[in-house]
Amino acid sequence: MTVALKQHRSHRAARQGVSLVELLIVMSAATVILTISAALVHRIMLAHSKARAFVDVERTSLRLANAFRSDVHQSISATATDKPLAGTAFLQLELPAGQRLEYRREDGTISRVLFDGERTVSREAFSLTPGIELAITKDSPSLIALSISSPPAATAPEDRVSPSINYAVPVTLHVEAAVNRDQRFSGVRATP
Amino acid sequence: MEAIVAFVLLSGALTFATPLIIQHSRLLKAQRDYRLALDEVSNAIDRLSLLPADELSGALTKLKPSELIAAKLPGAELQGELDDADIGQRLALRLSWQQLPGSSTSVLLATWLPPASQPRVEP
Repeated sequence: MTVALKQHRSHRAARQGVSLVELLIVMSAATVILTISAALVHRIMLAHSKARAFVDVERTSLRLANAFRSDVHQSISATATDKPLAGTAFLQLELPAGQRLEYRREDGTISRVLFDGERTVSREAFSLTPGIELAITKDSPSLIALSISSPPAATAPEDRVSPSINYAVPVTLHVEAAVNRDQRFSGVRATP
Repeated sequence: MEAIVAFVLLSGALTFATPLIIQHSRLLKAQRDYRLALDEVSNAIDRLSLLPADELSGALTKLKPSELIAAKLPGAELQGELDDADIGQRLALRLSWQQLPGSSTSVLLATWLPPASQPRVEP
């Protein structure tokens, strides 16, 4: 009985540490878990960045569409330029009371500038993706169409211009608006 | 033992997060689809508002989505309705499409046009 107790105590004393094999197994398992966790965190951060860029582009597109439609509706005349130079106006709108609106494009940003005579009253910027394709057309004298789209994604590695464009969120926007539409009830007389 | 517990917890987190990520991406796509549909209906209203009153009914029967919308929104259908209102005519357009297989979504916009006797305002 005394011998068995001594053997048991000596065995417990020997098991106070861990063997090299056990240590290696635990370290391997921890490495696998850390690798999976790191990959998961990386994917989540990437998804977060893409989602934020997507929401930014969508919000800007909606804001631009609303502003463009509203401006064209209240304008009394419109002048569109097919292929404007960088920084010059591609659309000029004459507003009542002598005010004037200009839409300009500078790479991926569209600016809306309001003039009162020669004085600049306000300036608003709509930042979209770099490399967008913009087209402004007059399908009829009273109908202005603004189309913004992204170029097709490059497939071959040599076609890739820059990482920022490859990562860019595609833009799809097509707005048609009738000039002077806000005045459609101006000639209607109220019935008693 | 600790490693097994950590692995089980991580697997659980992955199982829980995956449907959320898929649902989130669907939500983003639905947001874009809704904006495109809203623009399409507004564009159609603007085009129709320029037509003479006697051509409106005929144009409503020929309404169809643009090529862009037909490509982006599966099963897109554009329908219009013209009713008389106290201040002229009420034009309502509805664009419906298949958001997911088996679930249809639609956008309805309405505008009021001057009565037929009133000439359209030209710029």
